[in-house]
Amino acid sequence: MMTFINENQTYFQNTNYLGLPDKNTTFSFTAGTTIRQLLEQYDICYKKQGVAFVVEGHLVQSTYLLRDGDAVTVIPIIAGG
Amino acid sequence: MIQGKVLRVNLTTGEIGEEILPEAILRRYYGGSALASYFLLNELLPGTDPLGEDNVLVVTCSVLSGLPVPGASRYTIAAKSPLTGGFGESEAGGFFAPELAKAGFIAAVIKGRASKPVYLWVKDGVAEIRDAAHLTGKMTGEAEELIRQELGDSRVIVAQTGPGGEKLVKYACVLNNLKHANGRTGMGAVFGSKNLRAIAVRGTQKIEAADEKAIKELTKWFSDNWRDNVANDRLNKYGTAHNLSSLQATGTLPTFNFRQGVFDGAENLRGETMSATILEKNEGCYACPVRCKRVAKDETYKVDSRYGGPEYETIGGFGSLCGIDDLRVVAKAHELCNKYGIDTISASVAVSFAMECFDTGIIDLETTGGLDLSFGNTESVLKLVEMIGERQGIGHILGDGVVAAARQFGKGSEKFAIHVKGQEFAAHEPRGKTGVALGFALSPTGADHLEMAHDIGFADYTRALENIGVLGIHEPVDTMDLTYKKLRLFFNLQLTNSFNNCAGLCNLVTAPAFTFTFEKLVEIVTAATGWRTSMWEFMKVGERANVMARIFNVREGFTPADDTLPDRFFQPLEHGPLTGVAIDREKFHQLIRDYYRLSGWDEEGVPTRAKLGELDLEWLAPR
Repeated sequence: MMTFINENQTYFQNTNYLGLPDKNTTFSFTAGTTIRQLLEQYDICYKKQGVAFVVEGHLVQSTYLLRDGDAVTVIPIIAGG
Repeated sequence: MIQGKVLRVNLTTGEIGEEILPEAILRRYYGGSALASYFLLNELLPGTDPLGEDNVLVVTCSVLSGLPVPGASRYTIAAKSPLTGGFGESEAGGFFAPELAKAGFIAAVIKGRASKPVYLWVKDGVAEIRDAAHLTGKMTGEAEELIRQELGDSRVIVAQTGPGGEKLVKYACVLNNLKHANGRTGMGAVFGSKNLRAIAVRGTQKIEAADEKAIKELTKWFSDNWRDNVANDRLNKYGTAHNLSSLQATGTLPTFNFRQGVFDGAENLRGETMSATILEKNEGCYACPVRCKRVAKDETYKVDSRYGGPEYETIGGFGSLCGIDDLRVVAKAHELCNKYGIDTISASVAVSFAMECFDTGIIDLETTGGLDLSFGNTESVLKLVEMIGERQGIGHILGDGVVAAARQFGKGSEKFAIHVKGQEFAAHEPRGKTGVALGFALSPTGADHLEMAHDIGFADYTRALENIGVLGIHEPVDTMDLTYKKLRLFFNLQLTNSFNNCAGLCNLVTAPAFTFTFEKLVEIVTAATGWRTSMWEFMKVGERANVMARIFNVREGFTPADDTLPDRFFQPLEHGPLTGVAIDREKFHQLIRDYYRLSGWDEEGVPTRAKLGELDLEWLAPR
């Protein structure tokens, strides 16, 4: 029987803002996973963390569909100061 | 709740009196910005010289002042602005408002001009005008010490301007405890123009809440919950400084006088970098456990930690905006501004304006008196701040603000003057956030970054978006949106921020983004005042304040032409993630016209009689 490994990778920067121990983390995911779903797999509620996500310099929502090799920067939501 | 007692001072005649505001007035205006407008619109004639004897200086606390509620430590100073010629208003936290409230006053209205330097001393219901000649020319740190020594009480809270205000720098500010600034619109210059160096206050009366038990429970609730609000926790750890990395990542970090939205040196300016280097400790405001204020110290630049440490605006302003990537230099610039009593935001933009003029050859070493004003020149930045405070050489010109300076320099330099209505921009690139862009254009005080909670909080299904569900907004709005969606968001959030400015509340502990939800705010006000109230009433108070400020400006001759942005922002950025992005001029101005209509204003941006009537402001309708 043949087994297909459908594994993609995404590199998250500033994962400390998600409450993770490391500043940068590489996640594996299957195609069709959104940022929100990925984080839920690791028991992270992005809403609670008060963060936004930047891919290729642009803000994306947590419903963004991840692609293999995506670099995602996590940034704290700011209100002015 | 605090009684509605107002201190009335005439500096020309030396007369001191008081009046009591009926509860109906307190209920209509709550305090802060709206209460300030109530006095100004009644007692200040349009066309008055802002630096003349007839300007009216108002200090307003609120119905929450003096109660130990986190975030309720703020107050307003207002007058006609010497910087813009329009509505001047600035809030500060710290310790002044609670002390003035406990001294028995919700507000002070100060008129006239003293014939020689004075300060006002208010203690437990009694006020006195005292000689301040010995304070003239002294930095704020020394002046505060001298006042406390003279009054024999180290717990006296001093709100003062510095030598910058004495010398009438148009963006001079007022600081309490040397570091909590009523920063914007030049209220320090109004102090200076009246020969008023400071207001010193000591109050020992206890303010009773209508429901003491409920206030205690709400305060305890905040204590127990604020760390779970990640945004508040981050403020505690990094201060507003942590804003910087978000701005760099989204290409909205103003750099080289707003030429760019990304800065190569951003890494060195991050909040985390500050915590690892120059941060001595953190501190806070009255009754607030978040303690988001920084205290910075540095040996190389001899940064005196008495003056606190830089907030994000100062870091953006004296950092990336001027091409500086050294936090120690930013901290020193911050210290100098607080010593002299000048607004770090306007000062940094005046400096970056001069730098762009130097860079493009509009001014040269002769004009600058030998100062090399290339972007990134750390020595020159610090020297220039001193020169502004002392009003020396080119500092004298820049001390009048970028509009006046551009007039002096000529040669097309006005395109580098980044202001609205005469007040300089804060460090946020509007081409990346259209709500903030609207705020800059529409704020009655000129370019102001706090008209609404920033767009990024509502671009996804966030806690902040959840919190404004009670206002009926449930869907995210893109940061770059220029449709009715952004207008709707802006209008509603402008009201909540405006309400905060009336209730003496801090934007950094309240909804949308922070721990106290709107529901909790209703509980707080009810517990403080005994009033059966609601968010609806709060929004209307906020709207009342905005309309009153608008009427003030209409009376001073402001028109829709003033509700715009500098040309630069209608041109595309050329670096970073927002390369090619500009604000669409047509769409933007259409949105502004829609804003007037939505607000109940006519095509000239004047609030209609119907709107005034709705807001119980009929007395402002033209006869």
